[in-house]
Amino acid sequence: MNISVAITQTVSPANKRWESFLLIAALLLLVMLTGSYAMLFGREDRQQVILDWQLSAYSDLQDTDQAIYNELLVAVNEITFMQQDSLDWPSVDDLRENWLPPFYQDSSWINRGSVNWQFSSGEDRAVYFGNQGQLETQGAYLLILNNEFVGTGEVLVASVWWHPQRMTGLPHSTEDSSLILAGWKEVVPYQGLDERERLSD
Amino acid sequence: MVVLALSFSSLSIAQDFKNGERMTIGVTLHPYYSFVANIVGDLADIEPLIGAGYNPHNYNPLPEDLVRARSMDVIVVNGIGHDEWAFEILQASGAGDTPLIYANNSVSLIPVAGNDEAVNAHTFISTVTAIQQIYEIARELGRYDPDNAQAYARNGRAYATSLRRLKAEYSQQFSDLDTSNFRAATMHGAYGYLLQEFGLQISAVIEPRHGVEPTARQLAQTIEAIRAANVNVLFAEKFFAGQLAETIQAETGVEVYSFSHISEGDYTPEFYESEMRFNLDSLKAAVESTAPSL
Repeated sequence: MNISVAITQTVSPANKRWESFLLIAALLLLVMLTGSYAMLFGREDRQQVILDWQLSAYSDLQDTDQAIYNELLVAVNEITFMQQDSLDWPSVDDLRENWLPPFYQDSSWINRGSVNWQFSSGEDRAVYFGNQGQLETQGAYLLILNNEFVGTGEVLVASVWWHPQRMTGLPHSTEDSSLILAGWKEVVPYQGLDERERLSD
Repeated sequence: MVVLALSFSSLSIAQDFKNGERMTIGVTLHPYYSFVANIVGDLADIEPLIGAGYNPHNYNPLPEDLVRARSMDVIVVNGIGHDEWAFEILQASGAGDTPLIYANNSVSLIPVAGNDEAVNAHTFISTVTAIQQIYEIARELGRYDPDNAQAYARNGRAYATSLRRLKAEYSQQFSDLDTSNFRAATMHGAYGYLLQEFGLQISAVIEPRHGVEPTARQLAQTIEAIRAANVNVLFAEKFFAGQLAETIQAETGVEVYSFSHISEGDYTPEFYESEMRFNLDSLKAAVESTAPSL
């Protein structure tokens, strides 16, 4: 009959006193180093800054308003060319004759509420005012264009404003402060430049 | 306030980095070949960064791409997620300092339908956002080649007008159609800009795997998703429709049409308009199929 005997032998580390302390210290150092690295070089999700009196075209507008906004943004290029051709701002009829959305009256225009566009201009400013859209909850739109001198060259500064309600007529003043007081919101695009900066962060 | 467009006089800040020599302009995607070809005419050479017939979604660079990349003076890129491989090619070829024209810099972006977190990088599948890119590319090319800046601006404007006319041709045909019954799903999240410009919406994006035939399990899940989405039209991918579309149509009863992603075929100046016309024909047929009969 075989008898097995279990033998237990405890081996103590040579530096028992310091081993646990050193291990904890090493862990703490690792956590501190990675945390500092993340704080200094870590990726931070870039958030577009939208002020109280602004709206994001990307996330705050419904599909119809977003489409009209994007088309207004593209129309600015052609309006600029037309103004340079004739030295005068183009009328809404001029824009329609050039198939320029959102002014051109086609099925897209009908699907987006058949918005009525009006034009007015001052010394250095053109205003295209969209109102009376037929869709439920559809408000009003403003495209404002200014020729301004910046540095050595002339630049066209454009802004698009949106109001949640239909208007009785063109705003009396299209200065920023007046529009903000009247409840208008400036629409800010999220453009390829913004996305590229986010991707490269 | 946002400076949305520079007046023409501001082009005088351009750097004449080629000293009047003829430029070779690189492009990453098929639409950019057509855009640039129509902007420059015969005033510059155009070279695609990759050969025709490759899927730009998951492209793996080839050795010959590296050689080609070194011959380019400036490259037009999408830059918002559709041609990330281009940056790998440029780095690997030692041409990482080649000037880039980011076609989407001034394009107002929208999310992929049903996913606000994902930016839709397919800005070239819509006349509105294509036109914004054409203006952007023409402006930027003028900065690199000031001698021809006026011609680029003029040609870009003419090309933009022809695309607007193309869209108007179709949207006038849609005017008599009732779209209230139109409920569409797409098999790729690329087509939000296209439907948005016609005042139409995508109810669901049902994407098993873009550009690759789905497995039997993925197909079963796709069919289930289409039933759940309560749509009456499905847009499949032009080059992957075929048998897949027939199966889906038989199983779900939805009408299946196809859209072109505008990324397959030869690089030609006419390619973009031709593929957009295909898309608009497809959209028109789909709208007609859902319009209530009188």
